[in-house]
Amino acid sequence: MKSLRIVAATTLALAPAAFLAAPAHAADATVSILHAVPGATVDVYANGKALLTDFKPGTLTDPLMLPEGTYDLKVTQAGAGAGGAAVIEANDVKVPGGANVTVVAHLSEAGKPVLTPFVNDTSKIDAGKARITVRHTAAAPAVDVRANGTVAFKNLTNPNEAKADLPAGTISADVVLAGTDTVAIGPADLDLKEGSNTIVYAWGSAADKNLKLAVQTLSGMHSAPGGVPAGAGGQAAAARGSSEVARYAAVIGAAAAAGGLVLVSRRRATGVR
Amino acid sequence: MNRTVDPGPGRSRARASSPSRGVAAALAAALLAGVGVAWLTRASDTALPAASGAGVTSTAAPAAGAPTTPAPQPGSPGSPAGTDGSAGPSQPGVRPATQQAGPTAAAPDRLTIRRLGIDMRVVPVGVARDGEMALPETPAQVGWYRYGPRPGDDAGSTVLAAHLDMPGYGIGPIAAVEELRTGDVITVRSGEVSRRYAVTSVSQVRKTTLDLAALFARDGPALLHVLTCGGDFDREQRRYDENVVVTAEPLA
Repeated sequence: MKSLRIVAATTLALAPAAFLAAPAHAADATVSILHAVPGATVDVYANGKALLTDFKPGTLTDPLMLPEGTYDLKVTQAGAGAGGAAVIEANDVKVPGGANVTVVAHLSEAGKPVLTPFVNDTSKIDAGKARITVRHTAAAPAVDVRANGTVAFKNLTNPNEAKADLPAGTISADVVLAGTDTVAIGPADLDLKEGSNTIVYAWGSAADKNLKLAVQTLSGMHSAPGGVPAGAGGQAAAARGSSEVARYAAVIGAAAAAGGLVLVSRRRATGVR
Repeated sequence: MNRTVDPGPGRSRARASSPSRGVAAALAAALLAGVGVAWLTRASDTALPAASGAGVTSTAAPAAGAPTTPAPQPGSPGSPAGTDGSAGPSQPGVRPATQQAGPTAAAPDRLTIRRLGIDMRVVPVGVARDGEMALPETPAQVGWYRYGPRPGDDAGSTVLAAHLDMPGYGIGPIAAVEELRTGDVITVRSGEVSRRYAVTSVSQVRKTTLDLAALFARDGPALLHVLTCGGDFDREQRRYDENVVVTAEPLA
């Protein structure tokens, strides 16, 4: 992690300063962009400058370091140019410093393309646990998200999210229409990796029958276990203790025997008494 | 040892021993005998420093503060800006938004320390209900912390631990690790592949000062830690107050 940060800072120093007024390290946000609008390959502009070109649905960028602030974001058809017609336009999108954010281009419940920034929870996760975050970014009504057939998140609507920390492991996840058993997406196996936040997006359009799940994984939030309890019998300590007692007895016994021998033999030699 | 001293001429009267000289000689002999027995029966001094209360030293870099998968890049849209506003070569990488399972080395299944006659099965373990590392119940087996690195990974600490003793079982084979010396070879097998490590340190650490974050680091140099317990045993709590920590580095 340390070396990655050094690389990022060095590259920033070499890049043209046009877009970046602030020094690289001052309250940057980590920003990923998810393209969740079916059927459109697009270009993405931030404050009038191209950020991404030829961006395909169902794909996710690597994280970018961006200075905190507000951004005017614009999504056009690929190749339409900076002045081209906006598929999505969102001005004054707030990017908070130090935050980890995913900006999602997606359909609203009514099917209109919109941009929603979600702040990702990157707080520490207890040892043995995994975080799951679910985001409703589909043109579809309220849903329940199930893990292994049991409802884990109820009544999720567009463009909202829910999350929980669970024991790490693989679950079979599906998405049903809220309050029903009607499966809208899935089931799909999800590996909830320990110490990671697995972020699941429902996206697409119910009307167009192309609802899907997209997954983003953030790692590095793990905690160490609280200890290593490797002994409950006490026999080793007892063995060490009794061997120490035997040793002391041997030392004292040898000393007494040697001292006694010397005394007795000296008396004999001098013939005293 | 006694000899009759030949008095020689002119010393016959002065040779009578005083009681204090006899006692002094006896004491000297006792001291010599005691020290001799103590030295002969000393505990093996091959283990490195006894518990000093210091935490485990780790060369691993501190765990990452910010999460990342994959590496963050600087954002510099429009550099260089073309006339049509196309993004320059600093465009961020893009990948499908799906779970990607990378290839991983097999999990470890055997721990062998030839010089000590240790040859034990290794099983994956996780976290117990109280948040501590879960160990296999029997001292005959070694637990591998499944959420951390595994042998063959290029970063972080692989952690193995086994019970020193258990009610009903007695003292486990792992007890011998306190006799390990720097340079001793530890072999860990993972399926088809055996990997060798050289011991770099053996220490006994009070549990209250054990640096668990460093011990279980997932980044930094690739290391192996083998742990068991030591120190004093609390009969009521059924717990030892120290851990024995063996650290080893991979051999090429």
